Order: sequence, then structure tokens, then C-alpha cells
Amino acid sequence: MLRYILRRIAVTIPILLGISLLIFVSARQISSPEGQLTLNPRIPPEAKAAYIEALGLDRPWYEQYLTWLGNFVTGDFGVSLVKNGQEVWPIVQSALANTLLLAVVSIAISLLLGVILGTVAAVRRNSIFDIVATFGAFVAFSVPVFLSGLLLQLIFSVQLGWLPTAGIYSPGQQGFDLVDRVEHLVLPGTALALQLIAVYSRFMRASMLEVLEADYIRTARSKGLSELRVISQHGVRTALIPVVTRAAIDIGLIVGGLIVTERVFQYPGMGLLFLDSLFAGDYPILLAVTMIVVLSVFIMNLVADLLYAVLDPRIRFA
Amino acid sequence: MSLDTANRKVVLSVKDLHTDIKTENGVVHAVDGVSFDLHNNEVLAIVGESGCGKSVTALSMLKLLPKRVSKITQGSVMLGDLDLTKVSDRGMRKIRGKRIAMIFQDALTGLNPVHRVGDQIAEMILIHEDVTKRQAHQQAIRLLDQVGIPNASERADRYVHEFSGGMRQRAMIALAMALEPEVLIADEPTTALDVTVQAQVLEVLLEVKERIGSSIILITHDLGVVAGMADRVLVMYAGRIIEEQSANGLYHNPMHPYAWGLLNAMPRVDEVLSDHLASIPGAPPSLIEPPKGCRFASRCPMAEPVCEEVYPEVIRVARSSVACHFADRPDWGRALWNAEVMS
Repeated sequence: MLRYILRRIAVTIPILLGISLLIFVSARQISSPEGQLTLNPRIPPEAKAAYIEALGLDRPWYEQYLTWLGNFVTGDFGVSLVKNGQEVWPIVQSALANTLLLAVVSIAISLLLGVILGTVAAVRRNSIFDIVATFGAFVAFSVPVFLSGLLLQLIFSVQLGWLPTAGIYSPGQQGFDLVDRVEHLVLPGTALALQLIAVYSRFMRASMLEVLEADYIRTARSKGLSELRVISQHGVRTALIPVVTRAAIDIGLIVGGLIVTERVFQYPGMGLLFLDSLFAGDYPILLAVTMIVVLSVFIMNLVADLLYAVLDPRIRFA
Repeated sequence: MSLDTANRKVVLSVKDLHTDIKTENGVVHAVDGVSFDLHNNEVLAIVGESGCGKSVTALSMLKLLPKRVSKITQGSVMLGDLDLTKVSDRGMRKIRGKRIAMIFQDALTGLNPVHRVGDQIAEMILIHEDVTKRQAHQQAIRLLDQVGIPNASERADRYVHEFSGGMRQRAMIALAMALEPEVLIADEPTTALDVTVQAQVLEVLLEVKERIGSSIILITHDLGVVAGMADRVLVMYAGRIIEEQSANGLYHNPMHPYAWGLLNAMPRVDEVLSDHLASIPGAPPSLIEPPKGCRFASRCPMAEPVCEEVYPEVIRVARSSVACHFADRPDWGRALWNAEVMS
């Protein structure tokens, strides 16, 4: 088991190196943080030169990359190129916390609802419930977030005025306020959850249908168990395994993959930070975000694999 | 093995059972008028080829067929004074496991892969009896020990994939015997096993039968298993029972041409093997619209026009019965089968 984990970690290192190089080169090619200085006539040339030299932007690209890499592996994420020299790590940390909160809350709720919907749909296969759930899932899955998000904003914020449209706190809010924070979480969370519920309920339905055909379900019935017990103890318990591992993988993906949702709701998470730093050519932030996204995908995939082994006694690692 | 079943109490009595199964191609009359009595402490074998309705008969008795696609359309299944075809779902739950238990073919798929074996046995005990979890678990270990699983207390905490084939089937038997049911239905209990392990498992099954004094319905297509285990045999063909005999009688004096064919198709160690194994040519008829005459007629070497037209009446001879127009001419059957094999 430990060997397995170590081997998986070893495989990730070259992937991280390759991706960081790729992102660095493309970020340096397509955008220029020094550009806005060059264009601004009110900044004296000496100041520009000092700035460029201080950040090492005049050195060859591979030197810049290796410097960044050397700092990165010692835990130094560097400073932002455009945000007045702020440290990168606190910026990324706060974005990561916001995105994780959104991801975990949405996935938890989606998993619960998706499992229930999928189970009932499978047990009552081809019933009205099943047909409606199937249709609803395809609609929810097919509507992109930039549409569903805007519709949610239009209905619940603009028309009804129940919930805020964007951000994570009301303007002027100082410090932490649970109610205000949750209110800002509802709409982006719902936009995300609509898709996830659709996915998980379909997944659960398929998994459950397969399990319900299994011989051990018949054995469970032949023992005199109630149908509820057969479904919950012997059906759901087994059918849940692929769905839960899928959800774990999703957490990893969502850490980097909420670009549209966060943009629509101006939610200051990893996706929004990625976009902003990409446009600004702020490669220290861009690289830090990318590395964390890659790491989180990797870690959650590993977690999913380990979870599989915990949930399914048939699986052991060699 | 006593054949004196006439004086024994009838435990389970199936009368004119009809079960339909809906398929995409139409309604299959999978069980089409099956009647038999199961006596106290006997082993009754049901033999026949795949799809003849053996398993559907068994599953119908416990009402374990999916309601969506199946229906008992006629007949009764009397367990004591209780007609199981009329018992509610809730009522059936008290019968299943407690009064009639089932042993399925493959324990690897028949036991839940993600629950410990001991827990699966304890679960059933807990549902039916007023015991604590701990007592149920102890009872499960005792049962596993009784069916010859070494180190039962440690094995009870293992999963089914960690058991060998024979051990799995023993565990399945331990589960079935847990509540000392009156009737054990064993559906192909040894088909998934190595030949060397088959005998051991059957031995365990017979021991269990003696210990808890139950009766066994043994469903199989293996006539070797029947010879070693059964007191009486029902031969099923295309949803109906075509012959009922003592096990001995079936081997020495089969009456229905199909029974002749089955025995003929069984390789024997005491005879020189001809260069190919004997078989019955053709396939059973579709049970969506079964033929009106004898269902075996199209494959029968001694069939005459009447066989295609009229379903033969069941003829009772002593304690045996047979459904064939020419049951009084058994020697014909053998001669014709032999001729068939030679040609």
C-alpha cells in the first residue's frame, strides 16, 4: 500500500515539471507584465529598467524558469508581477479556500441528492419518476453554466431579490459573517450542483441497475429481508462505490475547473484568479495556480483509488 | 435411503403451478402445470436441461421472481396449511430463510462481495429471531464450523472472495440452514465446483438435512449428483414434469423417451466409450407458444402422429408417473435411441 502511494507520487513529479515548463513558456509568450509599464509615459525609463531587472524579466527565459523552479521547490512561490509585489501564496491560498468551499459543499449536496434520485430511478425503472428524472438530468447536464448561472441570477437576484448576484460578501462587509457568506454561496453552488446532481444520479442509476441484477440481491431477498433493507444494505452499499470515487475525482477537477462558474458569479476562487493572472501575464500566480490544480487532481485521484480499496474489499494494491 | 415416501408427511405440496415470464418476444409459459409433493426428510431432485423451468419453479415457490416480468397465473404451493401463492409480501418475508431457504449455484456471486460472510449469516438470524447482534454472530460462527469450515471464528470476518470454491458453497449452506428451515431448495449447488469438491459439498448438504430434519429440493442437470443424493426424481421438459420416479427406478427403468435420452447421454465409467458422446438431437420447443401435443415429439425417435396432436395423459404406475402415449413400450425407447446414436 505504502509502496503503491510512493510509486504514484514518483510518477507525478515529471508531470508537474512538464506542465510548469509549458505554462511558463506560453505565459511568457502570449502576455507581457512589463508591457503596461512600457506604454505608460508617466513612468520614467530608469524606474522601468529597475523593475524589469529586479524581477529578472531581462534574463533569458530558461534562467527565469529555473529561478522560479528553484524557489518553488523550496516553498517560495515568489511575488506577483502586477499586484504591487504582493506575496503569491496568500493570494492563491484565499482563492483556493473559496473554491474548495464551493466545491465541497456542492459535491456533498449533489452526492446526497444524486444518490437518492438515482437509486429511486433504478428501483422504479421505467416509471414516471424514472422518466422525469432522466429527462431532468439530461436538461440539467446540457445547459451550460453561463446560461443556467445567468438565469439563476435573473430569477433569484434581479426578479425576486432574494439572493446576491456576485462576490462572496456584500459590499462594505468587514470580516467573517456566516449568513452573508452562505447567501453568496447559494447561487454559484446551485449552478454547479445542477450539473453534478445530473451526473451523479445517472451514474448511481446505472450502477444500481447493475447491482440489482446481481445474484446476491436475490440471496438477500431469499433470506427474508425487507425490500428496503435489500436496497439499502445490499444494493446502495455496493452501487455507491463507483459514485463516491467519481465524486472524489471531481473535487480535484473542480479546484481548477470552475472558470466559467466563478466568472459568471465573480466568485474569487481559483478559476477567476487563473483568468486574471493569465490576462495580466502574472506568471508567478499563474504557475502557482496551475501547480496546485495539477496537484489537487493528482491527490484526489489517488484518494479515489484508495477510497475504492477501503469501500470494496475485493480490491487490494500490489 | 428409504423409498417409502408414501407414509411420510407431506411438507410442501405444489399443485398445477403455472408461471409466466414476460420477454421482448412474448409471454413465456416457463412453468406450465407442475405438481408434486415433497415429503418429510426426503431429497427430491428436479432434473432437466437448461431452460426447462426447474429454477423458475423453485423461484416461484418463494416468489423471488421479479414482479415486473413474472406472474404465477394458476395453481397453489401449500406449505402446511399455507398457500404461498396467496401470501402477502410481508408474509413471504417470514417464510423465506425461516421455513424455506435457498442455496444458489455460485456463492461467489450469490454472497454479497462487500459484506463479511459471518455478517451475512448473522443478518438473517437477527431479522427472524429475537437475539442480540453478538449472539447472532456467535451463531454464525457455530454454523460455519458445522459445515466444516476450519477456523470458523476467524473466517466469519472474511469476505467471500477470500474463500475457496468449496468453502464458499459450505458458507452458502451454513446460511441456508441457519434457521433450520423445513425445506431447503438447492439450485445447482455443485455446478460451479470442481468435481473433487462436489462430493464433499453434497456430503455436507446431506449431513445438514439429517441434523435439522429438513427436506431438500435438489435442482440439477447432473444425473450423477441425482444418483448419489436423491430419493425421488422429477424429470422436467419444456415447463412440465414428464416423469416422476424413485432415483433407483429412473436409472434402471426410465419410462419416458426423454428420460432414456438423458441417461443415454450420460457417459458411464462401466461401459466402453463409443467414439462420440451420445446426445439428444434438436432443441426444446419455444415456450411462448408451446405445441399442443407432446412437447418432446419433435425430438422423439418413437413419435407417431398422435404425439403431435394430443398431450399425453399422465399415467401413474405404482408411485411413479409418466406422460407419454407409449409408456407401456419402454424397450422401444432404448432400441430406438441406440439406433439413433449408431446412425
